Amino acid sequence: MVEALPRDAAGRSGLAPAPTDGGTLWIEGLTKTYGHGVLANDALTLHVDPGEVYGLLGPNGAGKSTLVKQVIGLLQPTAGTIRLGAHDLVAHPELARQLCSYLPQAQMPIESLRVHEAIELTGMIRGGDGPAVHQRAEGLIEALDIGPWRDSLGARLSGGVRRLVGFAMVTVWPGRVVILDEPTNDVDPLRRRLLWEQIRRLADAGASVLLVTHNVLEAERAVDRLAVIDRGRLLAEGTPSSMKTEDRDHLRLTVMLEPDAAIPDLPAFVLRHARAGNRLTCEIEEADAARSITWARELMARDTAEEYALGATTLEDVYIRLTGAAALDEPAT
Amino acid sequence: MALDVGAARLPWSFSMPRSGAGYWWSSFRTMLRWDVASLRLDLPIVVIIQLIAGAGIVVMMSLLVPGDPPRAAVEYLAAGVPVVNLYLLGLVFGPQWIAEQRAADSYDATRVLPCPRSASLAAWYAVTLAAGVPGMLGTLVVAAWRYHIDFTVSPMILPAVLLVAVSGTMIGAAIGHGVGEPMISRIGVQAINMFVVGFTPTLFPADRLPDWLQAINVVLPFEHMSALLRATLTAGPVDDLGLSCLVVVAWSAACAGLAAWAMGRRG
Repeated sequence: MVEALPRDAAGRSGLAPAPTDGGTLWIEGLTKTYGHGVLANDALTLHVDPGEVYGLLGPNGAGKSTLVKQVIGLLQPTAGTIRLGAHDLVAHPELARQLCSYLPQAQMPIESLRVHEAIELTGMIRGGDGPAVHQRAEGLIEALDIGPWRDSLGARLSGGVRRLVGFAMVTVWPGRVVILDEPTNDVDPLRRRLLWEQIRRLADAGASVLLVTHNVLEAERAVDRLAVIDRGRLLAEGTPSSMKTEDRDHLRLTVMLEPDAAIPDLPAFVLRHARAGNRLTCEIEEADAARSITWARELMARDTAEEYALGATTLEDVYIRLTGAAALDEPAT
Repeated sequence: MALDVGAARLPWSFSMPRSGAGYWWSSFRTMLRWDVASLRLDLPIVVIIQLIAGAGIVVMMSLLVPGDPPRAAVEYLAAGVPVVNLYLLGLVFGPQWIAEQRAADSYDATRVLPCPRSASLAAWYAVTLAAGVPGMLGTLVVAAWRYHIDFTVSPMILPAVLLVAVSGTMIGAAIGHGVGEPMISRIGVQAINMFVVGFTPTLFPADRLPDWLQAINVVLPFEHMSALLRATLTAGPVDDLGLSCLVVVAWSAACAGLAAWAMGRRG
């Protein structure tokens, strides 16, 4: 069925064409130094095409949020350019607010707003007209499975539901660039899937999705391309597959240590390791698979480890290699 | 790459650059709805507090001064308390609300909403005005009943009320958006509220204050806000209504400009 063309709040009818050309977000030489001398972004250069989900990965304090806040016009770059198609977003931050949607890391201030009301009002503020926004809002409420809370006040929502409402507010009448800063925080595993589906649909419709996360395992499944950032610098960029090329002949041995157990002496065949909680992740050569299993079993026999798993390397291993940090999030289901 | 889904099959659209009067007006209306909905739990309480506070201060005079309080004092008080009614939400509660958002780290979420700053400020002004008027009317009714004051309401009461409310709202908006530290903002507006009640000729004549404090008050807006209401409500003595208008307008304009600048300021 062909939907009726909506009319926007300024009276224009019809839909903006999906920006499949000329709508690329270009970030070049972006540098941000805070007043106290901290270099948060160091000459970052990247681009996000329409239809693309682009992930920004990095540990806390890497400069991810600083980057997106400059795109949306909350921070002034120290140097560099940000362009969306022909538009200079640094010179025209008011345009950035119209052309980009932004879900901040913190929750939306919707304590006294009902869920459907918060979503619809945001859509109208973003330029949609009532009936079209209402239709889209109801669709998102259903798609994200937050219908039971449709008429609830924001103050009565759990953190995860509130996060989903924030996502719906940002995407009900989205900008050409949709910036999502840790969108899945607090969201339960089932609704995370629904959220990722909607993110993919946004990109399929032509949005450039800039996704900030430190959840590497989720990012591996969700993004088309990604950049790993640390200490304000771009460490690597590419598709998840291309970034794993270097680790193609490697395996990942995951050992669940006993609670409070120290990291055991590591055999020489362990190339790299990282610990997150009780999870010890080791990268090994394929040829050392048998030896690694023997070692893991010995750890279990000595009550140092509870279990182990051996599998292909993931983006997390690349991330650990690049940043020297362990991803602390649980894998998405 | 993007799939070609075809724009006509989407029941929604990407937001487009907008400008002009239509954009401003639609932003004003939607921000007004946003503000009212965001404060739906607080506004009734604010109005009730205004009614109680206004009536309480007026009645308090008769408890402080046995018998019949001086007529001039009563009329000063009756015209002064509505000033407090009109500025309380915009000057005191408004900055505190913004401070709460800053403390919860959610201030940026509203700051990136794509609407003109002036439309956002105008919508907030409409809310503070609507929330202040019931308290003002309640105060006047109680004053007329308790002290048998015959208010000589002039048609100029309307612009006077609008001016008094806009100055309080814009001063509050400038503080709320301009002061980044929530604690300072919260304490600051409380201190200003205390200062207005105790150290400005809002509820009492200026000659009760020392000369130096009188001189300071000449350039502050509060004495003049009181003068505007007094002149249009009680036909009471007002030295220079033109000067009062000028000072209040100047403060309103300066603070509106400061608030709009602070809302768009990039760190």
